[in-house]
Amino acid sequence: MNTDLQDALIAWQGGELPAGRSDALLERLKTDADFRRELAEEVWTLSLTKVAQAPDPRWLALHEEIGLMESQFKVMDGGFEDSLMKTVRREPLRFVNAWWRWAATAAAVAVVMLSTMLLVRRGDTPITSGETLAVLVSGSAENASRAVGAGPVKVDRGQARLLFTHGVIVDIEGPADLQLLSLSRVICREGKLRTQVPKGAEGFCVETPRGAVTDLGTELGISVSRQGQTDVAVFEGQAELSVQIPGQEGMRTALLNVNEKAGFQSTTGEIRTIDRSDFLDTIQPQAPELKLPSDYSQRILAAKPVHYWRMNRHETSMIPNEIASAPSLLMVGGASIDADSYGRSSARFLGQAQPGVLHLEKPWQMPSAAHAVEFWFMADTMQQMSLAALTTTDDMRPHIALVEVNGKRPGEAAGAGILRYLLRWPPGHRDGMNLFSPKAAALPYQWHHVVAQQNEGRMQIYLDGRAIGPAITDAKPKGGDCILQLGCLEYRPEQALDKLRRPFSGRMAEVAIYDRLMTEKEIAEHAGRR
Amino acid sequence: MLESDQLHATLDHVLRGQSDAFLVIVRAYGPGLRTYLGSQLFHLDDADDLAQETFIAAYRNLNTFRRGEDFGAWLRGIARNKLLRFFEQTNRRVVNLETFRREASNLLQGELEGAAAETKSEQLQAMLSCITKLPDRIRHVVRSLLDGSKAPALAEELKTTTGAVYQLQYRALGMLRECITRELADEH
Repeated sequence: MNTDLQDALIAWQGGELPAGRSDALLERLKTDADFRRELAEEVWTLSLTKVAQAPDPRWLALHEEIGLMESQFKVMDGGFEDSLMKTVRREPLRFVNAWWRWAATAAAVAVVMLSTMLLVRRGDTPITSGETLAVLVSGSAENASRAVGAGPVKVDRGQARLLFTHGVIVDIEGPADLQLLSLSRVICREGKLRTQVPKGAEGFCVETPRGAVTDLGTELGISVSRQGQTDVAVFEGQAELSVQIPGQEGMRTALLNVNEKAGFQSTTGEIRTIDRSDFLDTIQPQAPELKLPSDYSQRILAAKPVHYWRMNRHETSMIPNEIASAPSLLMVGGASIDADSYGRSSARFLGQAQPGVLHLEKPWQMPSAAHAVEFWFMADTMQQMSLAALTTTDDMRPHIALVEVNGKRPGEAAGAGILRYLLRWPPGHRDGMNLFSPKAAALPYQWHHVVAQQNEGRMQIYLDGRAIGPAITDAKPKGGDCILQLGCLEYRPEQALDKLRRPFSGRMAEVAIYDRLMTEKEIAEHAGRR
Repeated sequence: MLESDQLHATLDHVLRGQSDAFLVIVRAYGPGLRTYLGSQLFHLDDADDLAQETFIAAYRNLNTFRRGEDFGAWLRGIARNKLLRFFEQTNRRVVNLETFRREASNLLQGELEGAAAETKSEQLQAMLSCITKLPDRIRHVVRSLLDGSKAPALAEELKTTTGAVYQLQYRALGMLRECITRELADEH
């Protein structure tokens, strides 16, 4: 680091410098373009750091200016969002393939149906416009997750979970009336909530009538009554309560530590210690059932894969291959085979809580021309996770192919529900050709059928029987020994399991590999599409 | 930032009287505008106040925005005027520690405008993730300085020198830039 740059950065932050030094630095800034560029880069990064860590501002004057104060954002319920949907109906997105228009229509129908399942009041159905902020998962109904953007979320009764794209989890018990404003702000007018805020998302704020609860990296219980009483319990970490004093500008604040409980009343602005214990427990949304025809395995075998693991049983730590004399998959760490609540066995992965991987016990000779990887998966988080990877047998396990979910598409803020297929040749840890699904195409708490295949560098991915791509790369895989691994970015046997990257959390079933391209017809049949 | 089609559709909605649509613009351009103002002001609260004033002015004058031009640059133009007025109004009570920043930010206008134009909203998201990946000691320095701790006090706490604290911060900024580049390239 050069001394001038260091001193300029110190002066920028208000640090002390010897007399005359600031003037000398300003003189250099006037004449030295490289120095200006270097300092601007440092200053910009500093500002980005500051803004990234700060909570979203509460711009009440702006809200008042655009008329959202008095109605408490109700104008959003049916105004702009509805109009956008009308616009979408009139003008289908130009860059979207025709089938995605049908998918959008189907998704809109599904949203209505799922809303009913979630007991969301008619007319209040949130419609995602622009950025997906979270996925709403029913606490009990099966196959009931959907993407939600800024807007209202109402749960009349029962439970639901909001999985925010940056890792915050908000469990909800109805009756609840929420308004999602951003990744870091939610208005709660009524309801019981339990928030889990991971590292990096501190400052998540739940605004309640006349007050706010800011989660400082913790697990909280929050209860908001229809009459405006807000009660808070801190189960882990800390929270800050703030409440507007009626009739004045003052705002009372209080810091709550672990195991402390307090409440505030909007009509008086008082914050008092409380004794109640009926805060919402962490909920466990029920995963949907994987519904496959009884002859599904016969259909797969009839397609003549070179490998096929049903994931419905294991022998010690091996998952047997349905193809005679073909190698098993080894279970490592938190990966296991167990039955879900419907009695169907599949591979279970526990994500960061207990990273695990399934990998081929012996290398597979990948053909030089075409190959296809087919599987079913159901994720239960919004984190970026690796599903399946083909690597070489080299110690560093460079990738040939990779399938991930929730990864960011370049140029976009979050990768909620995006499926990514990546091909790299020569094998490596960087670069390559990517295919991405549209946003919210592969949501958590839904089973998805995936086929990722390539032939001479022509890549295609099929999600739930529908094609994405193709993409064509000159760097064609040339075949050779490779290892299939499921459930993490890269696995090396000598590696500590807690160092596994992008570990998958969810379930996986019916994994097959082919030494040829699958046809659209058989993919559609396997995916259950007619 | 919004795609051109999305921006124009949103502007149409606002100009037709659906004022709530303006929140879409605030959500899309707010982080970049706060970063732009935050880079030139000592207190983030001041930056947030000016960002709010900028959005209010933009809302009132939305019909003067010429379609096809860079909306972010238009907003920053408004913000720059607000900033200059803020500097004029507060020049008398500015404390010494802010003097350098004010004069230097004037000289860095072109570079900061360039940085703003290249900044994408996902960089903020990546920044959050990257901060958590910093080594503990370096992360502590970054957060403490941002929280307003003085470098000499931090140096005493960490049993090191003030210069070493600034060097750790400088190292952190470089690490964060590299990490953001990596994250956005979506590579591992």
